[in-house]
Amino acid sequence: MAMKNPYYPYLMEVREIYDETTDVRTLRLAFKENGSSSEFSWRAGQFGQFLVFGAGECPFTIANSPTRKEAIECSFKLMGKVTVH
Amino acid sequence: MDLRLIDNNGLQRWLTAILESGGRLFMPLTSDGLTFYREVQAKEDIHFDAFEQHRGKPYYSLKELLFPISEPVLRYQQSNGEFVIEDLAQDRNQPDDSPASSTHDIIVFGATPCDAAAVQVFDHVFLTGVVDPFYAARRSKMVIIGMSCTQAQPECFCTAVGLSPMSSKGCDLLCTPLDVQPDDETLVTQHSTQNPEAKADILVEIFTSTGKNLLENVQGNWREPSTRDEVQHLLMMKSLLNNRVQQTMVKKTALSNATVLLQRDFESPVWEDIGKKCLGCGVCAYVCPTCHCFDLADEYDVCSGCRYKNWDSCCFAHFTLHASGHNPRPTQLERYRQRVMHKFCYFLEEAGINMCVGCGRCTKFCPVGIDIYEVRARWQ
Repeated sequence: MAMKNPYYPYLMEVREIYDETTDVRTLRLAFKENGSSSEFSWRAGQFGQFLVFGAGECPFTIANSPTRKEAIECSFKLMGKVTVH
Repeated sequence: MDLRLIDNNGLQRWLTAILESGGRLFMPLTSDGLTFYREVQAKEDIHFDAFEQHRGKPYYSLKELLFPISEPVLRYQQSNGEFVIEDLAQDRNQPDDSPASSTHDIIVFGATPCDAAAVQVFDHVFLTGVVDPFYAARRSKMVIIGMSCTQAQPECFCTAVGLSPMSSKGCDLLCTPLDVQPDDETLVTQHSTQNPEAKADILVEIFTSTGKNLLENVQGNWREPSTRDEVQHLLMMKSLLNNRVQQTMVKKTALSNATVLLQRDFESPVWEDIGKKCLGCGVCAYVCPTCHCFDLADEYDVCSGCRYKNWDSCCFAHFTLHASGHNPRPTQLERYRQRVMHKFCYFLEEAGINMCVGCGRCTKFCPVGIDIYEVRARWQ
């Protein structure tokens, strides 16, 4: 059994976009790979490490309920290099 | 206690036999005046004198072999708008220079006792809880053959952190040259009465089954002590030699557990004085056998890239810099304090392991002469 690579990310697809203010945008992200949504769990208040290939990664708190696991919602404020993508 | 004896030539021949049997052998090798743990490419490189007094330490510690300065963890490619990720932990076709790609054991000969002891810090970080498969692959193949120090360097303070120049912690095998000097009257008398020919012997202690298997699988000119008396005599010799080396150490005072004192003095003005000196160059973390912080960074072009795990240091200004420009550790005061607190307070509380093995490399290479032993010794 191959060992799991903790640096391997979950690929997400942007399903919906809401502009909350001029520089805060909420994304609704769905897992692209089958089975990932049941494997991934979180507790209220926990943050995720979000990465954009080539740009880098940064932590943001997951905004939706851990009981609604079909997607992840998160609000990003425009700041630094990663969030401009 | 399982012991063997061998002379310097016999040990070199045994290491050559390991190489010839297809094992990957790493040992301190010097080139351009700098010594590093490097892979032995040809048997002519296996050339050393275990009785040499001024061996010193390799520039970087053993951690380089388990946790490379820069290591790819995944590759990605975009085609037709879709990303495809290649998981390099599962990849068996890594470049040949990567120890993880080899099916052979990685045999490290000549690890200093401080470097060998430091591996337990890495085992805790990378093998407890979330396992790092890159580290685990290397570690599971590694056999560590330590070499006792027969002379302390000015920067050494291993005894102050609970180790010794002949500590076996982290070693599968430990070689100790029974280096009897003519002026060691007690040793000369003891030694000559027991075994007059054994003056050039190297004592090899076996601590793990991995070490024992290596000894048994690769033939060598080993001699096993024949009587219980001889075993006791050899261990006593080692102990006397250990004492002799310890007496030459400059930084002797033990650094007792000071977690409570360090936390009490978190805001002490002492940190400001030290912080003013620190340049934030990070050399202390690079040469440290236990520092293990890393950063993930991408190297990429338009539609493909590779993600690397790179060494990092808490003394770098960018280490905690936020995208907003805010930095919770705004000056070297906070950064150097974090380094000391992590080593002597946080890690000790979390893992019960001292995150300093007293090698003194950080002191030796610090461009402004910050001595971590002196800093830490303020709290006793």
